[in-house]
Amino acid sequence: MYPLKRFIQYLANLRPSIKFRNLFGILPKYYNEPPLDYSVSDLFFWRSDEIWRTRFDLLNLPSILYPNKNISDRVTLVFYDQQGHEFLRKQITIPPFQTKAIRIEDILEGNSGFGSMACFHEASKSSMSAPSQTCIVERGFTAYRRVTDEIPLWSYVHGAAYVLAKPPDHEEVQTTRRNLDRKILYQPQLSFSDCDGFDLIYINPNNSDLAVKVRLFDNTLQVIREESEVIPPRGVKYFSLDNKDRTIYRVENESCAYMLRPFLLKYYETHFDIFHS
Amino acid sequence: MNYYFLPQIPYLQSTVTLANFPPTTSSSWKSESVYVHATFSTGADWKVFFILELTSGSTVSLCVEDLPERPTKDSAVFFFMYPKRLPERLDLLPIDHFMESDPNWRGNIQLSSKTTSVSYQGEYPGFMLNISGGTILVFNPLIQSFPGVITKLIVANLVRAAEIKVGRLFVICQISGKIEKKFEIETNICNLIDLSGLKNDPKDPLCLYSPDMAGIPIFFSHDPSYRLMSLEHSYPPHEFTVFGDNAKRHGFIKEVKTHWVNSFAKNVSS
Repeated sequence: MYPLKRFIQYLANLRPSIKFRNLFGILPKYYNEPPLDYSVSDLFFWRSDEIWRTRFDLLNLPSILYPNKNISDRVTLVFYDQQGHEFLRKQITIPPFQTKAIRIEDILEGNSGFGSMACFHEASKSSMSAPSQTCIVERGFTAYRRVTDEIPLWSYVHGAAYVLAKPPDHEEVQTTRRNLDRKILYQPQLSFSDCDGFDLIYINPNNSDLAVKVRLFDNTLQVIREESEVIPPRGVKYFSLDNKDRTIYRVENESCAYMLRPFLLKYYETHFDIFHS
Repeated sequence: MNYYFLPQIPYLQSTVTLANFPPTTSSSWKSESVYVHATFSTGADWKVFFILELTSGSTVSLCVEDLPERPTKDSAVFFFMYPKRLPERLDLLPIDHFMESDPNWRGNIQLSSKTTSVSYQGEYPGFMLNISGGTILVFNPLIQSFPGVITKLIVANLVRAAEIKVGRLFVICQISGKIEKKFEIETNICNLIDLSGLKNDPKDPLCLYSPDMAGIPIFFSHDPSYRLMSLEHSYPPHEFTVFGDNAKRHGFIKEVKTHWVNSFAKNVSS
């Protein structure tokens, strides 16, 4: 690389430069990239109570990515309650190339409610002789069902974000997100007028409290209602919205978080639809 | 620009909702009307239908009944938005830099029974239309094999040229390499495949592999009367990695894919 180009890149990546870029949206850099031997995870939504069940499908990711090394995957699951407080860690080892479906209620040790969860994959040191070219990331599949449903059909949702990172053989977990000083608007590109009720589920990916403003619109795009909440780091906020009169047509949210895409849970007569917006 | 597909499942209504507003505020987005089109391949060229002009900030929900003419297979219909009206016949589908956003410009592809609905908030990305060959490699098929649950696989494929090509899709065991099922899939259509009878063994997990074409695999599970339904797509191996130098990362993922493709190809050709 030419020295001048390298120097410009150096300047552009200084902390004040990144702050400036993010503030004005000029080639923004939303992530604090961890070292490449770190394991990265989305923050997944879990819910386990008298009605809801959650399942998480684990793949041995290191053995898919390094298939010649016969790697056992040491998976660390970290659970946070709705206030974002860590209350449980579980380690599970997955033999090479195998998979494991985890029923969250089986490992919660009597806890119930809802919150967020991270999942980190780690290969044993001896099996990784070459330096990593990239981070392994868990953006896998959570699935939900209600015990009241007629058959045990799971509704899957894939992960969508890079939120937390964990160094190998260390306990601490850090965010991959940079704090932003400007608000970002997010508007799911769909209509809500086909259901009697729906939930918007937000998880705070930032390291500090996050103020979220949610606006509901009718079909003439007039604001019907506006709600604001502050979500603690790694915490979860549920907005449950009644739409029996079918007046809520669209929603949007505004916050200082990059890609604050809520889980959408739409309720229908006999079942529900849950997906990432 | 992206395309939006409409899988067709017997007894269900398929609808796509398109939005003429970006998911996030974007300085590059021009607030103006767009022209919604539908298209399907005749095998020789593309038939293109102008459906409506969608004003800025609006959404519209469409189904195959909105087309003035329908193909032999309804699942061959794709919708897209464009800045101007297009001619009624095209040799190649357009893939202009239009309606680009982060996250991608999505549509809501919905399947509805009389009592419930499921949806895929997604798109067929324009860049994928340039992949005339390609492969499908899925390590996490969302097959549900509980009594009373039926899983179907939808494989959406779209390329620029109208020619319909037939390819193979294998359900293959990751460790033993045993081929559990073989299906035919076509280009320029939403293929529908019944996965009944397949069971995912966690000690030798199932994978999907097509040596012939790229596509978006989506898993649709339901009870026999469609009172309960679930729909979600799976993703390719590059989604297992993030960060680092982009070129190095892509090189690494290419090596990983080559390993698995070679490993499966041995069994597929024998």
